[in-house]
Amino acid sequence: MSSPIVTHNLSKSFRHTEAVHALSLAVPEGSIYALIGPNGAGKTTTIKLLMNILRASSGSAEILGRDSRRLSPREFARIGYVSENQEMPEWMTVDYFLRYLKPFYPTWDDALAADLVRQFELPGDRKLRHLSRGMRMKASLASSLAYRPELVVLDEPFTGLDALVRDEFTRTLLDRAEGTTILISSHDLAEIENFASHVGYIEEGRLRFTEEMSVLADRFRQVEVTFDAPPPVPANWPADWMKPDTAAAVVRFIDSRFDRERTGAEVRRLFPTARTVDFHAMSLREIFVALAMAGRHAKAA
Amino acid sequence: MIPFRLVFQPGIALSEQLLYAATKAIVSGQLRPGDPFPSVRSLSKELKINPNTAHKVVMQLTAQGLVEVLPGIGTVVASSLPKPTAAARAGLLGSELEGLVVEAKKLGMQLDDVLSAVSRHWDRIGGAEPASSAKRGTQNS
Amino acid sequence: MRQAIHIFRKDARHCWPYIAAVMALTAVNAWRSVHEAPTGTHILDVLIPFLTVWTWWLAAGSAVHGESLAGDRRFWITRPYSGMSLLAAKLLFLVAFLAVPVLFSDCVVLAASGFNPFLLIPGLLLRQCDFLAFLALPFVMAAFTRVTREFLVALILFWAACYAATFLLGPRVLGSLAESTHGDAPWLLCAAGFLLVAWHYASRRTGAFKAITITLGVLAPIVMASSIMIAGGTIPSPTRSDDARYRSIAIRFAPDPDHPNPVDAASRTKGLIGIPVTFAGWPSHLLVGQLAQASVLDRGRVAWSCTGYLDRSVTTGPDGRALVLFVADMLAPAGATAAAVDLRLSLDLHIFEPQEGATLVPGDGWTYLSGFGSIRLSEGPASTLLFRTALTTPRPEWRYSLGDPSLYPVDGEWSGAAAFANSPMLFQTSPVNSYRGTATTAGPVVFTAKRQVAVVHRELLIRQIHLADFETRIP
Repeated sequence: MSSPIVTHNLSKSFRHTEAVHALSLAVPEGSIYALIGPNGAGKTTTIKLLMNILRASSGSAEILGRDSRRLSPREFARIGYVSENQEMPEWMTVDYFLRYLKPFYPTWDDALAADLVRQFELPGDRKLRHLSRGMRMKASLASSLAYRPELVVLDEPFTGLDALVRDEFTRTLLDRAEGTTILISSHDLAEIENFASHVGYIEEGRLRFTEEMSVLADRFRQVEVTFDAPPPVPANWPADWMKPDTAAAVVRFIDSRFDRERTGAEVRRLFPTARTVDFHAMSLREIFVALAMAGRHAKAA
Repeated sequence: MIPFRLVFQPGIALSEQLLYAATKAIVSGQLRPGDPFPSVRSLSKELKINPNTAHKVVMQLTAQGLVEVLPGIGTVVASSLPKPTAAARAGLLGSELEGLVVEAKKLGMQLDDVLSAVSRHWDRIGGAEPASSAKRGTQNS
Repeated sequence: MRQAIHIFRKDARHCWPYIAAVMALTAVNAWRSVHEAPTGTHILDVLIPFLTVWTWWLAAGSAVHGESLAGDRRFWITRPYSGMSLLAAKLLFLVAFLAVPVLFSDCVVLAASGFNPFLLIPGLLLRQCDFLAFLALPFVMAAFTRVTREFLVALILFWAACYAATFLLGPRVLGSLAESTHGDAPWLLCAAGFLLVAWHYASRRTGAFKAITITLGVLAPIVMASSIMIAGGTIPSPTRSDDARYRSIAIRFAPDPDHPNPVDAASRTKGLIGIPVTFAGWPSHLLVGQLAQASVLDRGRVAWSCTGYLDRSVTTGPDGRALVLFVADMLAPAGATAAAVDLRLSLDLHIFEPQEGATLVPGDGWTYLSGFGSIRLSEGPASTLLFRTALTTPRPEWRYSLGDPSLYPVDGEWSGAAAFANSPMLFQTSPVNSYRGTATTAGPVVFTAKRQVAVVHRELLIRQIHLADFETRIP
């Protein structure tokens, strides 16, 4: 089973800034891979490199088994790409846009296209330039799913969309998700948390980690230690534990390598006077915020 | 339409929560034998979860004999459900029970206090099986 | 190629306003070419071609911008577009909606001017190549820009840069540059532009878009070849001929006391000497003479010499008599004209042969004279002789005369729009070049075309002539 997306030390520099640095990741086939990271981390640049919209400064990437710099019409007929960064032919109506794209794709399914238009409640005879932002993204998604692509790449698709549109968008995407590999970069973590199978965290152009969502969720815990009296903060703070918060008789911190027994033992060792210890699972959003804050503190230090 | 209510909580794996909710719905009789059960695609779409996750859960439900996939018809609740034992039903309440115990311990309660409190709540709330509560018939202080 | 046609149809649908404008202007240009006013230039003569050129450019640009080649937000670069098909679609657009209407309009104008378009097919096709090469500039500009606004700015900047270069470099530098490249400098510039675009593609896109480089690389030689063909090139001057037919042509000194030299009181020419001569051996209206050198001899050796008077060194009057003109002051010191001298005249006689002729009635349609062009007389009372050549400028060895050939007819000269030659920046909207000849007042006119066939050299020696006796003043 080969990965539809593989990168080898992919790098991209613009004049004086290095947007992406030595990025190596592999998106497993059939997965829903979420690319997350702070603003300006390089997510969009990475996706543009994968789609051969930008040329890498060094390193390489393979899309559907082919060098990303040599993507031909044959590969693009198997890829769906949706991005808020991409223009659409404003003058075309929704119906004409889909009719126009059809001959480019051997696997285009008219019935599916009509279905998608109906699901999204898109006005077929309205020009793309007269569509709201949400409708435009929906139209873009419809035009990218109608030919049942093997790989769907979405670059910040939820930006500026209201909750209803986001909901529609997600449902339709997942409706077609079987047998498809999806790469999605997003700020909207609550939206993607439930369906992403893999996560890649990018910060300052570097891939900090890439792992399965379940593994990520399992290893992050917010630890709450309650004391009878104000606790001392131990000198040797474990590297995997993030900066602690102390208030009155409670110490809270995040363990990024949680293991019930090991962490428990560690806590008892460092806080012998602890009364109770609670472990709380964290949402993807909470994990992201913790990581981003840690990153910022590291930069400031 | 998903025939049971499910709101995802952070911390527990989605598959577990879904499995739990579906099992509970079937065991409690909310879903009767022969009732249609949502397909993998429906589950994925309606709950906005990864189809692989949905697929895993449906497999597990099938393995436990709670649902079956009929060719030409789709996924349905199994016609002959395995009789859930009292232990199994207690197992379904696992997380609630654990939560109860943790909170009780935090408050410094004793086991007897907890059992009395549970008993009080039991009598107050009307049960689905009045026969079983009548069977117990214990009076509590 | 199906994809190419599909994209082409989409472009046709999207760019229909430009297409409509192009069609309208093409029709207007055709109409104006056919019904060209006999006299004067109009503001529209400048405005309409200018508008047409810009409409062509904008139409070409709008088609290319349908799938813009610049920017990283283009919708089509993540879609299965084949580079070859895309290029083919854009070229098809240029051909179908810009070039073919020009071809059609050309045929209509030619037919209405008395020409047979089918006989001119090679020339028409060459003009099409010129037109496509002319479209190379907007094609290149559109390739570098994203939207019409940027495209217009780029074109205007390009124009401005060209004018700036003209001022900064000056005619001398530009002239020598044009000479060294045989007038192809503008075309070389276009070729450089193509290469730039090609490099732009090659550095960003591999494989499929190399085709564009090859295609544009093929266009450039067409551009260069056509500019050589159409721009007139060098005029072949007939070499001196010793053909037997012309040996009997002679020139004689023919002073006639009954016909003194004309002295026009209002004339400002001073010291002009006119030696009366007659020609033999060839009809005088088919001879055009040029004074190469007039020399005063002293004991057989040249004392003084000069060349003929401006470009009218031998004029033939309506009575068939010719005057060889030169300025005496330049021939001899003042006062020398009073004495009797030996004068030797060295003349080049250009020999013409009559070609087709016609009797022209004012107001009639075009008469086509093969090898010459189409002619007609405009409506009276003062009708002008109108002359059209198809696709080329008139060859200098062709002239004409009006009136009975046996009765010393009037030689005519042409004036009028030798329109701008085709270049990467301009394209002549009419396939015909229109000229005006002399005006006549009376009815039917006999028109004879004549073609220069040879030039012979003759020397005339006149002994003991008083130059002062042959002073003349001509208007």
